[in-house]
Amino acid sequence: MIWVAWRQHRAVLLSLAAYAVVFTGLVVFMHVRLASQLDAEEVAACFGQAPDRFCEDAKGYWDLRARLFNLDELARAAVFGFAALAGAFVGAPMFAREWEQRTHLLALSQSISPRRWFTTRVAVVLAATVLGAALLGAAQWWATMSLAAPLDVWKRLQPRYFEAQPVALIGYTLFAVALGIAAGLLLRRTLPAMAVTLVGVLGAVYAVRMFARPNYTTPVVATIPFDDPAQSASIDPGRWSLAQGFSDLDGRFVEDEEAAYEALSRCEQLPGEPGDARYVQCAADSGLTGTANLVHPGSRFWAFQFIEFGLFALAAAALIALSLWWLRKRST
Amino acid sequence: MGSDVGFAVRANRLGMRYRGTWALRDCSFELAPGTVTALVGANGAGKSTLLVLAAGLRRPTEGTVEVRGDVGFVAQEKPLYRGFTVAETLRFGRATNLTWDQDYAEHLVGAARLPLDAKVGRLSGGHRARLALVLALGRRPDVLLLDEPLSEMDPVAREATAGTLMVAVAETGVTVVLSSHVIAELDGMCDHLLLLDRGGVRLAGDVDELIDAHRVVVAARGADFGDHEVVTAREGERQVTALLRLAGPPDLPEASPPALHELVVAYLRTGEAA
Amino acid sequence: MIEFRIDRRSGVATYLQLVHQVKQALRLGLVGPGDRLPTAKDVVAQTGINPNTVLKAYRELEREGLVEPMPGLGTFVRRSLVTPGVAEDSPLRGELLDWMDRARALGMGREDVEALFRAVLDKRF
Repeated sequence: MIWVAWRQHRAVLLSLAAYAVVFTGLVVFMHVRLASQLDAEEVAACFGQAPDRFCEDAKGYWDLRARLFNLDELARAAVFGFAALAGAFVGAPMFAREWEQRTHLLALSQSISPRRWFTTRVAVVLAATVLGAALLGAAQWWATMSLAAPLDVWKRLQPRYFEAQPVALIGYTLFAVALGIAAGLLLRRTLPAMAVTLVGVLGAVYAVRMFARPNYTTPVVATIPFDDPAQSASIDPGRWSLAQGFSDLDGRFVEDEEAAYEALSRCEQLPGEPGDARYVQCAADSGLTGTANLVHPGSRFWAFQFIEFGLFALAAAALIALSLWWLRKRST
Repeated sequence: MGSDVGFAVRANRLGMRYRGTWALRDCSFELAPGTVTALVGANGAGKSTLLVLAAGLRRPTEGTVEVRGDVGFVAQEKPLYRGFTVAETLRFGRATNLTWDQDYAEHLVGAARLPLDAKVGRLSGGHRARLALVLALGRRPDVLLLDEPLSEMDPVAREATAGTLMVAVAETGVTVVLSSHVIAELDGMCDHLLLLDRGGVRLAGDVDELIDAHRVVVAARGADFGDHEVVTAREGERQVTALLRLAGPPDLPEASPPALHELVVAYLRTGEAA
Repeated sequence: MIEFRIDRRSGVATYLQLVHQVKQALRLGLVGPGDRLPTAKDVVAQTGINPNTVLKAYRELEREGLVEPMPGLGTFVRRSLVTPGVAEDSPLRGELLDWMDRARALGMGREDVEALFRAVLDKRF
């Protein structure tokens, strides 16, 4: 039965494998070229102090980076796209085509039980697609950790970058394929199932990014007090900033509100520089102690990756269980 | 063939409802092992539904159907994986069945002149039908359910298929149920009849016994047929041709036993009139 | 080996057709005592009829004492039906052929020969 599962999906799995190899190669190629433009000491010296500062010393590097920017974005999108494609082209047609071609009558009338027919195919397909996702995700991970892109490691908690990293990506792939399988089995027509899968995967990841991920753990209020602006130098560069605003007297986050702005602009009218004692006192009188960002520190990256993986993997398991239940309910 | 081992297929008040209409209702029958049964009826009478339920592919809405042993089934569409080659199709059979006789399957494929490396999608309808049958036979089933197996075949293929099926019956005692809406093509193969009409069983039993229990009579109009039941009658200007179900010994002049297809058509006609 | 031919339209039961054809073969001397009849499998492969029908025919022949089943080995001919005069090389057959040639030379057609033959047959048998 393993041979049957492989044979049935051979063409599309090989295509996805080619896709994975191509984009992995692209990422590796780009970063090898970037690395050739950089010196390890230059990197340490230049970027260590000011992560956001443009370094004159590595002009060749920066030029190349600018030229490769679009390709880099494309590679990242393609990595995420792999999951969606796996769902739509492997998952959705799996059972939809059987019903459309009536071959489900052929398969289910052999000795093999519906359960084994289903689980073997699902296992083979998940193993193959997860392998592809792992390859692409590993390439992205390597790229963010490599010396050739010292800044990228600080972007990895950001949306769009986060979703290309291996652990979450494997979660999306499992979910996409499971969603495709369920859609194909319940709709029993390939094209509608593919559409539902694509929309479903993109929608789910987007929804999680917007509403769930910010709440995986309680965000931290990172304050730069009005009386000590030098603290801005020690900002965690890998953090994910959710919102910008102010901090109140208790250290809590205050959203960018009209009232806060009005108060501070009045404070700015006072004689003297913003930051000196009079300003600070004025701000404190309005209940504000400094500018603040609501952030998730960069150190939470792996925790978030695994939480997101868990979410999508659980959803995948539920969809697969549902599909198997539905299949067994039909036949005896 | 011995039939003291109980039944091969047994249905009890079997019913199936699809989207509001009953495709099959209150069907009960029993088929002995080793028999070859013709499942006949008009299109839409419920033949395909009955076979699909007996094969275990769908759950009935009501009632039960039991089949003893390993069941082979070929649906009306004779589905196959179009992208596979003939050899890969056999491999599929081997991979998805516990009992698979590869030598037998290859022998059947050779007898049908199917090239092993031909893609299924490129084969003719008749060749595909024969390959689908090979898949069902290759697992050496105890019961074989075939939905219109001869419909796509040319006369030569039909004869060869009949031969293959009957040899399988002779060698292994497999119980066969074949459906058709052209009874003539099954005559000679079948020793049992199961006639469906609009979802119900109208006639069931051993072919020889059924034929022997009926007579075709040509008589003058208004003739009295005694206790015998008139199944169907065709009235002409001066005479009437009737098919009678005997209620006792055949005491009629000019009466002959019907041919199988006459019997089947007569019962289907009464269904229409009712 | 006997080649069976089933005529579905004839109105004669299949098993009886088989019985007739076996007897015909016996009469023509195509099979004789000790020869084995085709197995049910062979007949069925050739004609596509139900194996039970073949068994029924062979049982009928056994009833008439013409054949004998040997379990595991097959069904064997017991008695000959060849009557002198019917074999391929019998003088009677040769004379009949000559007579037919003469009838043909006289201008008689098939139906004429048949009618004459039947008339004489009815008189004598």
